[in-house]
Amino acid sequence: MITHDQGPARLLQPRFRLLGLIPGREIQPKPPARVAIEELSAGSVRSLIPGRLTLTSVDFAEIASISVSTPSSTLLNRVHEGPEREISTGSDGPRGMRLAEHQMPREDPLRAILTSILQPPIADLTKQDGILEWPHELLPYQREGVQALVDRPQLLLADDMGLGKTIQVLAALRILFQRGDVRRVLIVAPASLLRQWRKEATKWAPELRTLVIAAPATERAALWRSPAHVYIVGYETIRKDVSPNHPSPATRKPWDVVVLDEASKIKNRDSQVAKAVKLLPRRRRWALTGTPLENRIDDVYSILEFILNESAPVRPLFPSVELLREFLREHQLRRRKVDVLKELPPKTVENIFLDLLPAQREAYDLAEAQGIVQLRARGAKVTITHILELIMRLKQLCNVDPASGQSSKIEDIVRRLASLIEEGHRALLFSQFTDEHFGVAFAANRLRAFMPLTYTGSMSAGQRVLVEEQFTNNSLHKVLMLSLKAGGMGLNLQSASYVFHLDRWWNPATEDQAEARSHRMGQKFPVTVYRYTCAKTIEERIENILETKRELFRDVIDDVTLDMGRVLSRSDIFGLFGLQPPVGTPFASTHPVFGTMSGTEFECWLAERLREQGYKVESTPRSHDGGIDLIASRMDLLGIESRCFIQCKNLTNPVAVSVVRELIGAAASVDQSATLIVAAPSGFTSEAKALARPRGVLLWDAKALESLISHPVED
Amino acid sequence: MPIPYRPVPRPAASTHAAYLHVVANGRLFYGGLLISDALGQPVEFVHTSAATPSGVLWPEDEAREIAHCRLAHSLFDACQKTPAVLIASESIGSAKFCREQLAPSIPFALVGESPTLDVTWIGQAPSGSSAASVLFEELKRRNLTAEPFDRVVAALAEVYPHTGLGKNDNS
Repeated sequence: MITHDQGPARLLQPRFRLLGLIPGREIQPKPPARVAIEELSAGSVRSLIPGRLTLTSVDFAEIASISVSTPSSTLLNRVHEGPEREISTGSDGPRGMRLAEHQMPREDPLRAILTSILQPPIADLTKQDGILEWPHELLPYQREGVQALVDRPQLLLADDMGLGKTIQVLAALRILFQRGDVRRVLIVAPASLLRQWRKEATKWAPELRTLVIAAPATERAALWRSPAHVYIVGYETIRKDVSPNHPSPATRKPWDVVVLDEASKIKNRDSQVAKAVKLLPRRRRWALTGTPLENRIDDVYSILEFILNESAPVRPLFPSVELLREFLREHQLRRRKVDVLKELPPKTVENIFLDLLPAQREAYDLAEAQGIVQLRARGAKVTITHILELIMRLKQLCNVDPASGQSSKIEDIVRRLASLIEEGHRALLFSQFTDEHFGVAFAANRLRAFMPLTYTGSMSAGQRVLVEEQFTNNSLHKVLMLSLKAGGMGLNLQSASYVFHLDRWWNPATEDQAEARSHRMGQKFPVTVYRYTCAKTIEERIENILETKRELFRDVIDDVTLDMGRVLSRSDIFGLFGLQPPVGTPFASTHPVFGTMSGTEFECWLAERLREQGYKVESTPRSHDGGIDLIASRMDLLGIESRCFIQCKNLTNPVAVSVVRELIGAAASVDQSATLIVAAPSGFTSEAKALARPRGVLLWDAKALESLISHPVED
Repeated sequence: MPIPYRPVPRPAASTHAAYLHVVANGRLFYGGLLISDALGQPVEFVHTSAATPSGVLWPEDEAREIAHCRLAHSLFDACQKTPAVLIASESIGSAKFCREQLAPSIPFALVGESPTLDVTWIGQAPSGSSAASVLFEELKRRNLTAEPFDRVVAALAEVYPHTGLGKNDNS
């Protein structure tokens, strides 16, 4: 209460009243109404229980009643979206509730709206010297991003990698919590990034309690029920814990915000994980990705279903690419490094073409010649898999000839490293291979003078964290060698300003993502990327195709126009070795990859793909497999082992329900927590799907299997 | 189960500022008093309205002054916090009116709408070390001396949706 003097009363009477000329009518304000807003700022003890805000009425006797025809959550959404609210009032009096004192509902829309309106502007909240304290100054484009996230219940944040999408999301969440607009948030991210999210949340929203949901199934139910502001969970866990047919703690209450990091994980709308995340009840939907249209415009539709809260396919909503582009213009926020980070040092990419060393050349030529002879010998039965196997072998020889130990790439890297280290710089080296013969371990051995550290998928979670910290904090380690898959995303390695690609990857987005570990906010030096290609080898031929793909990709990502389809056609792949695709081959199906594989070949092919993703894969004896062909296991970053039982079927017809049933039966007696997978390029009968879906059995059809070639397994 | 936030040090003292604002639509006057902390976060909001009689016997300027005074006192009485400083924009009335009629017991600053931020203390300005002075300087540093009036207008427009407030702030 503010005490005050009444003042000389005579001054507050109209002059004519003093003369007795008017009746004693006076200006009498209506009894005031008061909204008490519970303090939310950092430093105080607050609760997230509903009814946090209390409206204490002074006197509502004269306040007109109102009817609110929309629920408060909708109203709040509309506050941000702008359309007129559906509120009616019987008079011109203030809006309020005809309720006795102390009987206010816990969720009063007006109170919530007022609380929101009376908050300081977002622009003031994100200023460095503003209301909230931030660990670092938010850059102008980041403040715009925060504003967009706070304002919009649905957004596809597609900034370039390294622009700080995580920071923008956490800042926006912090503000939304501060304003009382949200109370429960779920962040879904790849398992390898869970720790990163938690670390950043501790830094950027220290007052929020975060909880990582990562534990064996038996313990997860309790974790879901543990109180927290922000829950962080992996895609694979969501897939396991959310089912349309069973109640789940994850779907028990609506989430105020669901954030999908690396949203391209759900680009396949038929995947179990895509279906699972779309079952999450959610008020705000944010999807984050630096590569929303990685290879195909089709990829974006599933993500749009998530942010639009649609369960049906949204493709029919966009009959033309123009409409899709228009929609994305409204709902996608995409900034490129070159546009917003003027201060970010430039990235220079240098493609280095090397000749193989003499013995290396000899070994390579021999291997290629033999490989082509073998391919030709297969005649009409030659498949793309055979070609890919030869490519892999030749790429390894481009890295090093194990017999002679000669490697033109390593020689060049040693020379460059010596020079750049002398200048005080450090480097990252990526390879798709991890072994001691051709990949990360091999390079680490040859570069041991530079005290290299290695980071691969075979390391435990603790080891990986330790390596990241060691490299960041100990400048004696001049080089960090990473497998492209394990180290290609989520790491902040700005202390290195040189990036070497020992070998090339099919997907340029993957390479860009790896380079973004160094070329990101906080980088102080210009970043130089060296991509090695051995002249007159398969690498050079692949490079030529990659360059075309890269140009197309730039068009797609920025103009959202092009459906690239598959970049590499069968003709492209066969053409790498001067071969023509077989004509009229007796494929079991029309599928180019799996069509001519035998059952065993298909099983071997799948095992190899899973090994590339960091799985340990074990084949069961063929005659006693009991319905399980492959057992694949992998430790995730949090040290939790995920195990998969896989049945492989390469048939002409869709796989029947009996196969699924057999796998379920076989797994029940071995390990009930394992993920069950039936891999069958020919697809599945509806009965098989009906049995598999509620039991969480994954069905990998040709499309899912193809994705293993260029993309990691979910999580 | 209540979930405690982890404590984070705060830069400002636990004092409050009150922002008084009155807007008019014809003969109808709407007053809002926003209490915020030193960081500009809202703590309490009190609002009310009053109508002035029309006709030649109620000159507009006098009716406005009376309405402003009545509304202000009503809001002063209704708010539960006791702020360290009261801030109003110059549109509330002259310095003489503020001093003689509103006459709050706490330090009272009238702020201008110019970018240079003219400040007129009603009565004696608070001493440099006083809570009111420290708080006011903190608010000034964060550009929080005039901005909250926009919030008050927006809140009044929300509470009185059919009066055209916010579109025609002719106070």
